[in-house]
Amino acid sequence: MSNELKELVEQLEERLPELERERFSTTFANHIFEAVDYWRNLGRYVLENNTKVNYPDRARGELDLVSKLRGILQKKPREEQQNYTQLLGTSEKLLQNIEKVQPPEGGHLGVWKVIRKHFHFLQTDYKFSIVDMQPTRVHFSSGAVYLQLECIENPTLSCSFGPETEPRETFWINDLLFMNGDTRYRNLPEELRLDTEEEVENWFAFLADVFKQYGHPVLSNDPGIFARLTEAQAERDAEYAREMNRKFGVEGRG
Amino acid sequence: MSPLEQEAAIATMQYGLVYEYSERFVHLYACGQSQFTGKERDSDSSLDNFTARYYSSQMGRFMSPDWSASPEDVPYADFGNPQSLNLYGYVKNNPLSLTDPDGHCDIDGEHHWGWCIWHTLGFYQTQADRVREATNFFNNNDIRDANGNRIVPGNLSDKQLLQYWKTYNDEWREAGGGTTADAALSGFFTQWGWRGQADYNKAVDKLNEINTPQGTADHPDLNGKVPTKEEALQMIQDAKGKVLRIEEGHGPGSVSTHNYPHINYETASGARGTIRIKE
Repeated sequence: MSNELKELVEQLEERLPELERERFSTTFANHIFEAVDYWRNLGRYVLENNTKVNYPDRARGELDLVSKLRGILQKKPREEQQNYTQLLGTSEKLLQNIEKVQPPEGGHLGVWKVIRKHFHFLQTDYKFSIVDMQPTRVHFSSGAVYLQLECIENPTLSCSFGPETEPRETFWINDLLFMNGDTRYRNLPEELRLDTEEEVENWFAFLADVFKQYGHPVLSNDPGIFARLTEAQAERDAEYAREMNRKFGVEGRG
Repeated sequence: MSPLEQEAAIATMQYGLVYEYSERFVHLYACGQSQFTGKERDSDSSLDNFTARYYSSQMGRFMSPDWSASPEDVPYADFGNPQSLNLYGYVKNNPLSLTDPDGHCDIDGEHHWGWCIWHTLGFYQTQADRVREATNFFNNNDIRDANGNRIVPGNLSDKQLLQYWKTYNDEWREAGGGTTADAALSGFFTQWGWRGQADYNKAVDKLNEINTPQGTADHPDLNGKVPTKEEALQMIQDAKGKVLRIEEGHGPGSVSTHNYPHINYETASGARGTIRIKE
């Protein structure tokens, strides 16, 4: 499949410079350019073995767009139809290929395996279930509380939790540390390095340890826990704002 | 291609970004590596064709500190970046905004109680403070003078050192459209508060949220506010997404509902995204 996929990607790439030149001639041409540019990217990610992408999901959404564009094209002048019909056919074939690409068995860099291993206690001790899995992400919920873990370099985004309410309240690992007087909240990196399975394992093992140490009231949805977390988050936020104001001038005014 | 351009090109290819901040200096900030070098810019050449030029000119800043193997116990100044303490020092050491107005304080030989309170709070500095922080900064960063020689504080008088320090700040400020070097690297204030504050992080979180039946992320606002272009670019970077295009609104008759200025981006997991930006 990868040979065929490579050829299809190359066919789209050959057309891209021309599509880019034409993109401002009509609105439709602009949509075609933007779409083909993205489809080419998706194909490239497969060829580069980028395991972060949920290819079946992405491709299904884009195949809908192909149908939509094809419907519009049928009402266009013959010349325009000739220009784009084959291109949409090639794109559709590419997306059908991409749709078949499954994520690695353990998720991106083995993150599913790692999270299942370190957060197994959520399921056994707190009756959480996995409600969504993406190549880089596992979303747990107990019905009352959610915990989302993601293999992403931004540590804030990599672990969020809160009550299952609408609108969603979000708390982070530093809030949990802060509320429990653990000064490690100050030392969390601004940027994680998650390029290897070992780095992924280390980070999620750390998160699991924090939850094992301080997470019980959160995971068991103790009365008042999220109100206390809200206060802790506000307090930590105010501390951060004071620090930034001191360093950079009040509200960035120098 | 000049040696400087070659170095910048290599950094661009390997690490994805180059931070250019003045006509005379070029800083290479290598994301993912503990490297931070500065060299005089080749006056006969331009970095305008480098990918990173887009970032530096459009955003005016980059904030991708490295992982710190041995974080230090100083709130927020140590996050991941071994140089952040220097950069933090650099903030305080801005010779333009932080001055010794009357020269009377018993710290470092000066005395005046009111001044000392501000000094203690970090708003004012003595000359000795500035020398210490300039020394710290230049010792830890490879900054070259106009002749290509590294600035070594130990070889300079205080006066010479502070002159370099002032030039360095001035150029950064000039290139940053009024911001100081420290602000360009670390402090970024937005409609959601400082970068890193809870509301800001919640807005960033939104960018990766798939919210259409087609599996795309389409955000006409972020928790009720429309970002400026600069804010959106920073937020996309913090969400670990990738900017594809900055677009004007699509005209009438378009199948797109994006009839306002917007940025096309890819989410961290490769989904297509759109964020509205202010006119």
